[in-house]
Amino acid sequence: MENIENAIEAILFVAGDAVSLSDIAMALEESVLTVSSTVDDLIIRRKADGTGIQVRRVGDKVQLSTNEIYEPYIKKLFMPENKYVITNAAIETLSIIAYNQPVTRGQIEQIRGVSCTYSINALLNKSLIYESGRKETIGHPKLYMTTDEFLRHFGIASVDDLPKLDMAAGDET
Amino acid sequence: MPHHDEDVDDEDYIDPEEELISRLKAYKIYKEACVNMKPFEADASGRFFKLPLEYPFEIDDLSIAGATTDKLYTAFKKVMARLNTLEIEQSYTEVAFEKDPVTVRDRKKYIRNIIKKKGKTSFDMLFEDVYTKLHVAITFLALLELLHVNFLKVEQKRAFDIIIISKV
Repeated sequence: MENIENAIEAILFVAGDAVSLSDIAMALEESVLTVSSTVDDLIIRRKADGTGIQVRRVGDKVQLSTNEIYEPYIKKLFMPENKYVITNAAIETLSIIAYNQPVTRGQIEQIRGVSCTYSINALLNKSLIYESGRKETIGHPKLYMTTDEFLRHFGIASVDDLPKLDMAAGDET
Repeated sequence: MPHHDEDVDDEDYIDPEEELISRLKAYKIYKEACVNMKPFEADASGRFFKLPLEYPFEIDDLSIAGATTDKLYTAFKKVMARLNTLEIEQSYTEVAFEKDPVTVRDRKKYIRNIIKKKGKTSFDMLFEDVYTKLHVAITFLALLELLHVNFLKVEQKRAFDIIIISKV
């Protein structure tokens, strides 16, 4: 292998979408561990150099994205539509799913105290959550989990990167 | 009525006030979490991702021999679904009974003619002039019979691709 870092960049460029570490490892005939640490090196190097294209982790996948500091130039030239807005109600529902996944609608409504059908549908439509299965309980309610799009939207590599829940917040009045 | 004292001997008893407070606390925790998630969203909003490159894939020619009837049945269901919507769209104000409904023999002849003229055709094309369920069913039966007598062969290059019908 000439240079694993360069090969990974080339793969990510063609893929566009996020590519799983195991797929890259298979293509490069390297171990997932080697690929994973190389990706970390790549992320650190590109971040330090402030390059226009950055490498990002999306769950157990890797993807190229632009560097946000160059956003004004991209907007000036291409005038992309602004990213969708998540309403406050939907973001509340989303946070409950993110921190407790997989969860049922009932569990979300238990916390929010209101019906969440609309916000769940809105989140499904935006591909921020998906139905991961059904809970083995009476009525077999659907279970919801967050997607890779959720990670991308919030610019995090995994849900573990979300700020820890402030359990003391509930005690303040 | 005997007076029920709630404080006595009920381990499962949950004070509604306490329950409400604990629910409000839980809600406040997530409300706070939303506030903390917002900056992440704002930071990420300036990043752009590209779409996958479109490049031709190397496709092996697949023969669907062996799975032919399954695939045909799926395609048949698709045509039926189209008819369902067609029929709903049409409003029936009068009912007419046709004297000679189409027969399998007619349809076999029809398919044979198409194949003879064009050499091959797609599965969907066979149903282009068909507007009733009976017609679809008969055309499908005719197709199966022609397959059975080895007059036709059915090919699909890859999954979900059009089904090509040609002479053996």
